Amino acid sequence: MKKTISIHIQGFPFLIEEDAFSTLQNYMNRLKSALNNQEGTQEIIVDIELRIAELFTQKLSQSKQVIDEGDLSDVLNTLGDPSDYAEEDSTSKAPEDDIKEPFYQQDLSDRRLFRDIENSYIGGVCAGLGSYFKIDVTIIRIIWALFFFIGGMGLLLYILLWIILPKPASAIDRLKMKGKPINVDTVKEEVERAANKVSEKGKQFADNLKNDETIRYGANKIGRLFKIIVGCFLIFIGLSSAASLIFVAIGAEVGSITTDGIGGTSIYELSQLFFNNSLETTRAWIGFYLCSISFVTFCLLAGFVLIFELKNKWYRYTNFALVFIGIAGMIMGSISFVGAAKDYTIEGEIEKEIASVNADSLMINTITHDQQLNSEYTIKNDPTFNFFIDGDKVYDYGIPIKYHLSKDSLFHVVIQKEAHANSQQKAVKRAEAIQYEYTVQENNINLSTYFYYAKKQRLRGQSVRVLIYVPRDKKVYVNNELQNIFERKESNLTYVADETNINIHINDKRLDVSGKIRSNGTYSHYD
Amino acid sequence: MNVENTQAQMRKGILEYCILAILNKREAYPSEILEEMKTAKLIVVEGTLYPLLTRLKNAELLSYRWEESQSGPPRKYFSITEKGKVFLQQLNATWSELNTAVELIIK
Repeated sequence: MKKTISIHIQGFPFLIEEDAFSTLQNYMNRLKSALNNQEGTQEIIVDIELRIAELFTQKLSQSKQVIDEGDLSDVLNTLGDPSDYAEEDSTSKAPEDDIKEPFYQQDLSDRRLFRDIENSYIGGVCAGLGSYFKIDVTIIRIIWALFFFIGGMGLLLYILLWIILPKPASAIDRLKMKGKPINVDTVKEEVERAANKVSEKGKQFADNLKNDETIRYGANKIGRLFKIIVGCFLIFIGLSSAASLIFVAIGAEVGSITTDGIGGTSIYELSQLFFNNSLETTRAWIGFYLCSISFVTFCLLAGFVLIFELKNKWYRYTNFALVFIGIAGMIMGSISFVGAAKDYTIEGEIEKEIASVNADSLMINTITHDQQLNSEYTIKNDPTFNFFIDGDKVYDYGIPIKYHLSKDSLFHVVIQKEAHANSQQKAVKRAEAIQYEYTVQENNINLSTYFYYAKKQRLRGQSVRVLIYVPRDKKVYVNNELQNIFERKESNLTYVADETNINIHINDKRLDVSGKIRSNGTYSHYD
Repeated sequence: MNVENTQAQMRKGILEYCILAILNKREAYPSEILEEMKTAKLIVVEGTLYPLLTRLKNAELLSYRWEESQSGPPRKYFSITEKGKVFLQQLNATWSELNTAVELIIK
């Protein structure tokens, strides 16, 4: 026997067991609160009550006149739980966090700048800025990355802001960060949202940890950032190399290396003199261009692939091909280079005595001609240069003179020519191909300021030296100036040359007695 | 994020549309609307219907009349209004649009 409670639903009476009654009451209360005063709440409640009444009526019969727990349970199951159906309109509330609201609706007066940890990539600086200014975070990140690369101040500024800007410490802070009005409702919302996010994150973390995804995700993010940095760096290298390459390509043909030593010679011409023959020269240049162009292309391509995460495997194939070409280019260049270098190994030297003079003094004069004008006029403001290519000849300026003691009582003047090759024979032949001009008239020796050889002899360490053997205590004049052969005055002291080879010892340092004819025809002693 | 929440969201979205479509065919009691949905295997809980019906009625897309019943309380008998029919047409268009789009996307 059980106690019943007598109720009526919308004017229809029912007898219901005590326990069932409390369950029913509970249901109705939950229904009311779930409906939360939506429009038409009353009407909805009436409808539901009517339906309950209808269902109750179906349960009852002659033999069963009281609603029990079981009946109620059936009825409530049919209807469903209020939480499932009653919060219709609350779901139309937009998720507040990431959606941009129109600027004019925001009340900016209570905004504060925070670091937005929840939406952060690294430290949340950009996310916080995005929240504050209501600009999409990604745009801020892009701008930041630009600052990072232009001038590099981006990194410092980021770290600075990371330290300065606080994390939001409470729901109220978070509301301030997003610029939302602060009142009971919004605070409650924010607390709930944050709590949900935390529990969501917790669950997510636990799940992902099982699948190792967060770690991969974090690593992916770092990897992505890293890739972007490396990518930009590569592009930078690629572009600057390309720029230099263009300069070289233009300069190689057209421009000239204008240092003091060499005037008016282009890189290309020099290279022609260096490599063994035109085939080698061409091969070297092709190798160089292949190597540098493939390098540039490789850098640019790899840079783009990394930054934009291009997946197409053709990019990878292309890069491999480029590396291959680059190496091939390097090999080509090296072959030519090595070939040329080998041609330097053996030295060949020849000498010829051009005069032996019996006199008290020897008169040396330098001949200057200007082979550019092919006349006796000289260019007034010629820069001092030592090397010159004209037509098919190479001109090398500057002749060293070395003095030795003569074994007899005569002056002897000897011209020495030297060149290099990969064999003794070739070296000697090359030396012979050097042209040096001089004239001899009794005790007057006229020496040219330069020597020359054909371009096709190539640059192989050619040099010309003049050796003058002087009998003891006889005099030598160069360009009508007496030169000190056997003694040297230095800071009020006079040093005397030694007996055997004409060396002058100053403070234990042994100096040869020598001089140099310069390109402009002047002579300097003790060079 | 809960899959049941999303599933519920998806169902809720088309409920209004289905109700209007059913009522377009004939007038019905809430329980009859429910039956038809069950036959079509659309899983809805009864309670969901009432707030929806109220809303649609308040928006003048539906109307009802009371019908006395022998065994118990009176019941609301719903039918679609002209405004409701126009509304339904527009929802029809949206539905085929969505249907085609989703089919394409999930290929």
